[in-house]
Amino acid sequence: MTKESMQKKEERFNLIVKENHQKILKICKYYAPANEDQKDIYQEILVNIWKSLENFRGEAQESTWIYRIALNTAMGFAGKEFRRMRIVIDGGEKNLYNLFSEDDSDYKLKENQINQLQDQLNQLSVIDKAIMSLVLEDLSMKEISEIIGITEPNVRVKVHRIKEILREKMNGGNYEN
Amino acid sequence: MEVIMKTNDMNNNLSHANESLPDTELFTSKLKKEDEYNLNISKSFFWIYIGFIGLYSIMMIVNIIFDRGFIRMFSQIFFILSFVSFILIFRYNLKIYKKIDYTLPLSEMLSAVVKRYQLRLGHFLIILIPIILMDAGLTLTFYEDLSPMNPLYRVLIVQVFYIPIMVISALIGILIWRKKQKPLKDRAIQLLEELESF
Repeated sequence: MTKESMQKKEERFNLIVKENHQKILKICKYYAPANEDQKDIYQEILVNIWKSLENFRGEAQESTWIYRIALNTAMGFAGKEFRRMRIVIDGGEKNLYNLFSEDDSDYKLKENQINQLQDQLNQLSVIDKAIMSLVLEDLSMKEISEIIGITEPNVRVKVHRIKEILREKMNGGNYEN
Repeated sequence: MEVIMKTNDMNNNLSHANESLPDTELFTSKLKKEDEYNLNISKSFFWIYIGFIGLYSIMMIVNIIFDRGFIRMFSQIFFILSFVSFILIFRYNLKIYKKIDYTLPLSEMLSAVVKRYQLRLGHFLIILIPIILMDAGLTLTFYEDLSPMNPLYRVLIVQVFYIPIMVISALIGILIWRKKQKPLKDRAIQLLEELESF
């Protein structure tokens, strides 16, 4: 690699990281609740962005590309061992509150149920949590299908089912006022 | 109100996390160093094998010049062929390693993990090639040194030592695979099934 191309790679890398810093950070927060682990995953994601930079041809949107790298790294497939997948969805997000607002169902989340919803989300399976983390990032079904690698209708079905499970649990348990 | 408060909390947490995250500019230089380091490692292995090939080639030429017989020459040819096979296998594995593509969709990434960590008969047969070539090289090397013995015994005595060493190495390899790579493969299969179930 020449000095010039290395410099170009470096500039491009810095720009991508600068533009997508918050997205990467959020994924880190989902997958690693502890601050130290967040730093490790953040670094790993940056390493993989660096390594993948030459292969980015622009076929996918840059954000989709970043999410794929972030998600694949955070799940730790190529690492020494799988992480425990303790995805923790931060309760502070407005999206969490609005999770059911666009649904056909009459179900509306009460403000004091946010923590309970968060608990229920964190009890989902790894794949369901990964999907819900992207839903909470307000990504479209198309973008999620491109990141996860299943068809858009299948993503819709999955999201619908997950929400159904969440609604049932929120309605059925001790969570009702 | 509560939601807005929690959003603010989160932003505070993020900015707090921001402070402790590595500086990107500084990190870039680390990445460049890592690239160079990985490249140097692969180059080093390559040149070690090339060194062995060169050494055995010189020994072979010396044997031809001093007419030390065909058996010794063939033993060195087998050693050279064994090292060449090791280089080819090493380069192939390096290529596979470099092909880990984090930009793939999750489902494709999982399939690639299953494929990469699967123990296959093909891999075993390929690694047998340099092992058998080295066995032939060793057998011929000792063949003349053990000359008072029966020819069959001369061949067998090398096998008595070589085969158990190779079997033990293979078993250690399988144990490492079972401990490190099989769980990854099994987990990837499980997640793929989860992803594809509706």
